[in-house]
Amino acid sequence: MNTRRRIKPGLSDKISLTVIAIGVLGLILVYYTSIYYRNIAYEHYQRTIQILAAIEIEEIVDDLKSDAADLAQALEQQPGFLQHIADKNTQALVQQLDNQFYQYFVTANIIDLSKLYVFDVDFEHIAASSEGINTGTSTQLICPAFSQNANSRRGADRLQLVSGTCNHDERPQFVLISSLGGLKPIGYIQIVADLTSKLQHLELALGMPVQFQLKNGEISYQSDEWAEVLGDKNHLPVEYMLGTYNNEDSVRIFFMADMTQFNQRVMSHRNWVMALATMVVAATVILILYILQGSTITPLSRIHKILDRLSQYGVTQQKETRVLFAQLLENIITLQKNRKQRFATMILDLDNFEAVNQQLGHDAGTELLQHVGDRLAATLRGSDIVSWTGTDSPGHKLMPVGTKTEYRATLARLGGDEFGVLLPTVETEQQANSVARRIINSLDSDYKLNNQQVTLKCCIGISIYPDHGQEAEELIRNADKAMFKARQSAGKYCIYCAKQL
Amino acid sequence: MKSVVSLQKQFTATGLVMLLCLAGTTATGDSYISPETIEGTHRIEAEGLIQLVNRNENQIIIDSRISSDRKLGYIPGSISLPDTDTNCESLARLIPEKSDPVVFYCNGPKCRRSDIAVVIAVDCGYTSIYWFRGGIEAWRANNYPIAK
Repeated sequence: MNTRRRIKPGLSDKISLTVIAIGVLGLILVYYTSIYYRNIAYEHYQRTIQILAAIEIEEIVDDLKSDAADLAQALEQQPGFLQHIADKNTQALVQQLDNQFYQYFVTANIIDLSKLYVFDVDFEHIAASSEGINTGTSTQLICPAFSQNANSRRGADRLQLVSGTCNHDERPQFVLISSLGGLKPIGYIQIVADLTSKLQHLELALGMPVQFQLKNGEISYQSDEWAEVLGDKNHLPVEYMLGTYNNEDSVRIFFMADMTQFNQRVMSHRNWVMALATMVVAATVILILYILQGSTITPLSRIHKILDRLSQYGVTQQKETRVLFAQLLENIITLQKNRKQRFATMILDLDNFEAVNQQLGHDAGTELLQHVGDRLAATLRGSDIVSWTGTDSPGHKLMPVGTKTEYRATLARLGGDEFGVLLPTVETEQQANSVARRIINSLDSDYKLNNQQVTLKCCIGISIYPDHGQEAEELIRNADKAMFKARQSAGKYCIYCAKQL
Repeated sequence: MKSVVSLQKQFTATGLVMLLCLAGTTATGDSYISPETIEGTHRIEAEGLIQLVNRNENQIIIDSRISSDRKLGYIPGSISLPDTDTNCESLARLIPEKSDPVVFYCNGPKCRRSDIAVVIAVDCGYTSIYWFRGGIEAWRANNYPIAK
């Protein structure tokens, strides 16, 4: 017996699973939304750091400009320096330029000198320091665009300071050109300084580890803690590209922003939201189950049990079947009352059935019922699935087990020739009439039993809930009355009518 | 009677406070701004100063600021003569002829010193006075060289 049963999720399980599935979807949504917004925040943070870096670098370059102007002034005030320019005394000038590599601005680490050049007033090269970057020949200029630019100016503009950044051998250099000799210049000095060492100030200014990558990929500087934070998921890498005066890429500057606190806040907020969502889901499940318990879940589960028991009773146990049919009706009333839906109860009288049962035996009776059931199933196919009860072979159903909703139209033997049919999907008298007509048409023709022709005369009485009764017994009684009326009259079916009956 | 006297006192006190408030606003309201022009002088800008230097062999530029300001940077070739020391005698020591072109400057339009100096120079009878109203502020803004 038990092997027939399958583990199937009940209605409450299905409802709970649906709500939980929606809840899980919600949690997944919260999770990915938090990641999405964190990434947006990251992008904004990266942009902010890039802006901060740009401001800081501008300041560094401004400071360098001011320091380089001071160096130009210091050189100008060196004894004989201006005279050497006027005399174009290259040797003496180289000596004075070289000296600067061992004096205040370099030794106090104010300027990381790369090269010094002196030009006459027409930007003709006079001298270059032999110290600093080796450029091969002394006339070979580092970042020549600056002096060319400075020379192309006219009038008072030729007195203005020229400065900017450029690349030399893939390293960023700062260049300043200053006039020498006051407001009537007799020459110019070009100061070239390495920018990398000054850029290291970014590490302190922004308070995060930095790494400088030259154009050729060489790492020219990296903070001590760089290796520690590299790959740490709480550190956000930010890239800033330092450009030169002619918008050429110079150094790629990487920062590592510590996002630990930010991430902690985001995660804690997300966890709170997820915990709240879980609680809401749990509460919803409990609430839905609580609401549905009385109105739907309980009657439905009872209906299932009754149908199960009905299927186990044979044609001989009419008393029990009648009680169970009444119980079934009661539970369907509870269910339909909450849904505010009408339904039809039919009493089907199969004239001659009892006679066939007694004359040809229970087996023949059972076989006849199977035929009736087959025809009913064919008639009420589709939306009206018939559950067959009251046969001699327990558990036999007209439709295979597990097909759709188990109760749609239920047939039970109530005694003698009487059978009860419940049609929960039939709501109007018109529908009931049409179903009754279809049943009669299909059941009226002959049956073949043990090579004998058997004819069943069929008539139907119908009552509709709640018009013809609020209680199970009342509905059965009124359907019974309608059935008797149908039997007496010429018609084969009749709908209960209080006035007529 | 007593109450009337105290009321009078109150009024007087309120009046005094109001007066003080008014006085306060006028005293701290706005700082000094040089006039656009000063009679008897030519107003020049930074570029004009450089043109003058290139045109005149012995162009005299007078820095009318006090020495502590000058230490922070000055126009190359300028001579220090604070406005407080400016008078016909000190000017005569620096400018040989009354018709020699001479430029006066200080920190900028908020600085009063060059205004005072040029007015003194006009009174002393100098005829070719150039007033660089923008001063060191405009000089720096134009990226021109500064001596220290």
